[in-house]
Amino acid sequence: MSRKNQRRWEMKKAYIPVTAMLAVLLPLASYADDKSAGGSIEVAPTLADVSGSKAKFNEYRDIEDGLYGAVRLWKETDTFFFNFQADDILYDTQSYRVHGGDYGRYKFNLFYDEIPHNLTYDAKTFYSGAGTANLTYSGANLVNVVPSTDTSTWNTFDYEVDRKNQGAGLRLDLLKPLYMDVSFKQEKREGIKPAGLAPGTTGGSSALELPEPVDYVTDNLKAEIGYSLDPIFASVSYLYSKFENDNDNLFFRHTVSANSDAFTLAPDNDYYKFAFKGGAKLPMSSTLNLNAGRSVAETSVGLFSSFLDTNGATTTTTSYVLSDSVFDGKVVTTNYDVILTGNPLSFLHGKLFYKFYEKENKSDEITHTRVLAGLDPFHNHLFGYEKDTYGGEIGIKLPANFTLTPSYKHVKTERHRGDLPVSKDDIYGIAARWSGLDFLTVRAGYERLERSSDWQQLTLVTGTQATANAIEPFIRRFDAAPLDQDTYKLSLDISPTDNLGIGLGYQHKKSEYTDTILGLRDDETDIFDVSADYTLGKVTLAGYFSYEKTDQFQFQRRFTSAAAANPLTDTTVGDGHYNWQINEENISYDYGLSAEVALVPDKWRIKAQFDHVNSNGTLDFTLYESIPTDFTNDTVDQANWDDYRKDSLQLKAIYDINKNLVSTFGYAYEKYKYSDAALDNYRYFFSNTSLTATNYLTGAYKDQSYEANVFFATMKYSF
Amino acid sequence: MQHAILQRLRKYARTVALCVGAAGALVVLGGTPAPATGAGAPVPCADCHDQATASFNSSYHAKAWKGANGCQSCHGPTDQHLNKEQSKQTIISFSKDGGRSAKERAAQCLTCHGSSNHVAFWETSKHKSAGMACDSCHTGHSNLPKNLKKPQSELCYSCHKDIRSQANRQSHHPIREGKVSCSDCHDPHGGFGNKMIKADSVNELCFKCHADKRGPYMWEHPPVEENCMICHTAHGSNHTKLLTRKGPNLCQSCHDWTQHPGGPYTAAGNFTEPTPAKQMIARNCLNCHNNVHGSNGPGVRGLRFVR
Repeated sequence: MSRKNQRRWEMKKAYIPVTAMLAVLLPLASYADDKSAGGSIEVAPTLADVSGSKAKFNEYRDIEDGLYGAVRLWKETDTFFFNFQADDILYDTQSYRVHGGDYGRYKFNLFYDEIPHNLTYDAKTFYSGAGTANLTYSGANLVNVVPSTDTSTWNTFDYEVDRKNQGAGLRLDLLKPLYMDVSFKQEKREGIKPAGLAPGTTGGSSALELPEPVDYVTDNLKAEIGYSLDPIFASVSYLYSKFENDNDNLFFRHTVSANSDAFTLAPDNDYYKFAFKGGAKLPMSSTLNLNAGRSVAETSVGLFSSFLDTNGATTTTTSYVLSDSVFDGKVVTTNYDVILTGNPLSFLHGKLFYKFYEKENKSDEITHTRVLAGLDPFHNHLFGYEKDTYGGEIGIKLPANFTLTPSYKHVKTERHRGDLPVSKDDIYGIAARWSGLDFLTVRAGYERLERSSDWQQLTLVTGTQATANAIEPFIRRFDAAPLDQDTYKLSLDISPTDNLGIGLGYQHKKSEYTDTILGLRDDETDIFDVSADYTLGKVTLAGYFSYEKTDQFQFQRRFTSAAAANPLTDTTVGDGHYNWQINEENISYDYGLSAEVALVPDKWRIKAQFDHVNSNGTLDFTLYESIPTDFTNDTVDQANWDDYRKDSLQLKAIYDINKNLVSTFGYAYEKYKYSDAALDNYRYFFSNTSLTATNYLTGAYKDQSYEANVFFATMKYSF
Repeated sequence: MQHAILQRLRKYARTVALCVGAAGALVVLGGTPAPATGAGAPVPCADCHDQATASFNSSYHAKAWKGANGCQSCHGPTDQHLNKEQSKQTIISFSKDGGRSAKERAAQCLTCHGSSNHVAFWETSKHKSAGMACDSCHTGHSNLPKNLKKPQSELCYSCHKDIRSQANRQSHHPIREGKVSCSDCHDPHGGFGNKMIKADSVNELCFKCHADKRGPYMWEHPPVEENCMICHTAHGSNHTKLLTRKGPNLCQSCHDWTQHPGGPYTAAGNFTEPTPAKQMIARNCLNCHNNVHGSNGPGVRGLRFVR
């Protein structure tokens, strides 16, 4: 039995929440007056034939041969109601939900829901212990050795992570206008995801991909008490979240040693937040809205003081003296919002807002003193930031159903970061809407963002400061770099008749990083979309089409020493120091068509849906020298950059046997073809220029293409 | 083989058992179920608006208005409409050509729902600024959850068409699969978050589901700590992990340095070549620098996010 099926059969636990839900509901329901109740039972035998990547086909699904089932029960009286819904019973996507209550007095809900995330099945590693926190291999060290040229002898495992959410909530409105809302949710995540590390001395040595165990539990408790009676609203809330990882570290036998080394994993943490929200309606049709919150995230982690390193075919141990063997992390956020809205005149409405957000890092500063003499100590840099945002907008109603809304927003961000510590955004916008004709609404908008940033020379935590001094003056990291950005939007909604609706949209965004020499310099996006739906008698048709083109221009420098860092003064050809650039282009489009025909009203219906998604990415490189042997500037380009196309077809015939019984016969076809320069012709191991550093991979994201045919039928009995 | 068949039979048996159990539960619950009736539609309306009254009778509002004059509760007095002029202008109509402004239509809904905490910040909403009203998304005649006009994602896509396209892409949150909905992250009724997100910051929102990224870490990657959206997109991407761009280009947008961070990773580094570049193939930069969201690893290995 495969691990997947084994797990499914272990999911008998799923019955526990279901049983609990029914156990709670049945007695409650029995007290209610018997006015109306009902439900449905649906069974759906399914046959699925999938060739290629079953993992990608079922990335967030669980479609395979089997019998799918769904159950719904409901009961309502003048006051009491409840609803129970179970879907995909026993499958990896199963969900069970109950909600009910007494109208206007209380509501409750319980749920259990699973979300799979399948990445790659049958990944391979020469390590044993995939899925655990201890990976090992037997025999000699792997330096200069490929463990086996036959990867079929390697151990296989699946990259997949399953989320299991369960929880409950209760809302009380017994003391209106006071209310109380309490909810609890637990999320368990289990599975394996890919991890990677460099076991060697420098980044230039080798890469090692490992299966990382995922065994997380997150508990969330939220409580809110509020007062809500027009024109006043106020609430206070408390959120507590606890994240626990069963594995603090992933231990693996080093490739050049019989000893284990450690790869650190996501740390346990606690998070809590207090918040207040309030609103009041004021004279002149205005409102005042307030929001304040403070949160704390904490962790405590034992630290390693050394790691294994390679020096050719042997290992060395790099050790540090730490100022503290435990890292206590603490991040505090503070947030205030004030929004004032007003509608003082019938043709005028406006909004003014201010937001303050601060992330304070109160974590430990751990000083690392390398045991090897002669190297300066260094410590972690504590990042935090503060953001002030203010602005406003005015909506002006003009004659002929024309509305104009100019707006302005200013954002000042101060970061505890060396290169771009302060940036200021000025965002000017104007939006127009015209609805002068009953069948036509036109919207247009323009937004201009101007970002200025104060650049400073970066001081390194550790490393060669001279290199930083040489290269950093040319680098502006795009997340905070000076920027001019223009965005245009236009949309039309047309409904010439009651049974026809057409939507058209266009967006253009151009970002120019004005001070950047090295890094991302230009980013441009064009989006065009159209959708339509049409009903004529027994036929309903709908369709959509969307096209997007993005272009990025990036300029970089390859160099080996600080003296050769300057990209503007390079006149020496053939010295191995050179500039290079990429023009990256991605063209994506998707379209879909659907039709529903009532062949025999209230008896036979046919539904058909076809969707197509296509993306084509290219990288156009220009290298100003040192073009690799056997290549030219025309052939170094990457033609397949996350290229894919997907065709999906679904046909369904629905037959209403009688008032209570509906059957469906269906067929679905899906074909996904993926090609990418980084994954095509995949190899599980390969060497750098010499065999002294072999890279070992596991096949994560390899061979994602698939083709699937699915036949299904459903029988739904409603009562 | 025999074992597998047995397993499958057991699976079917469990499903059938659950269904039978559910049916049994219903018997306990309801006895003989009474047919659902809508008491809200007065006869004069149904005479002309048979489809509208039928849909209303199956709606949540009809249940809420049992015993009352359902139509008039939302559409106002009908005397003039019945006796003089049977146009949309003589009642409170929610049609496009009904002659009522968004404010008037919203006010009609807020008569009952104005004290709901769910709409407490409607005035701050971008939807409100865009001239929308409650009936842009909801209808009193709906039997869908929240009285929506369409299933939620389809409803949102009808205006946010580019988001549908993004959700269709190869890397996406499971919106299409029905496991994540727009309202899990956004509050269409307004609030304080940018893009009407249900949090004070983007990271706070993302950490609700991705608590493993919350840290706090000893070695931090500043853009990660500031805003997940610097590298990721929320709805869907052509690039794995919902990245805005694929590595190594994304990483090199910020990282240029001696040796490998500044090198061009071209077709000369693909798997097809004798010595592929590990910075180019497979998960590119993540092949070594896996812990880009933060690390507590030792010394420079943690600092460089490789442990």
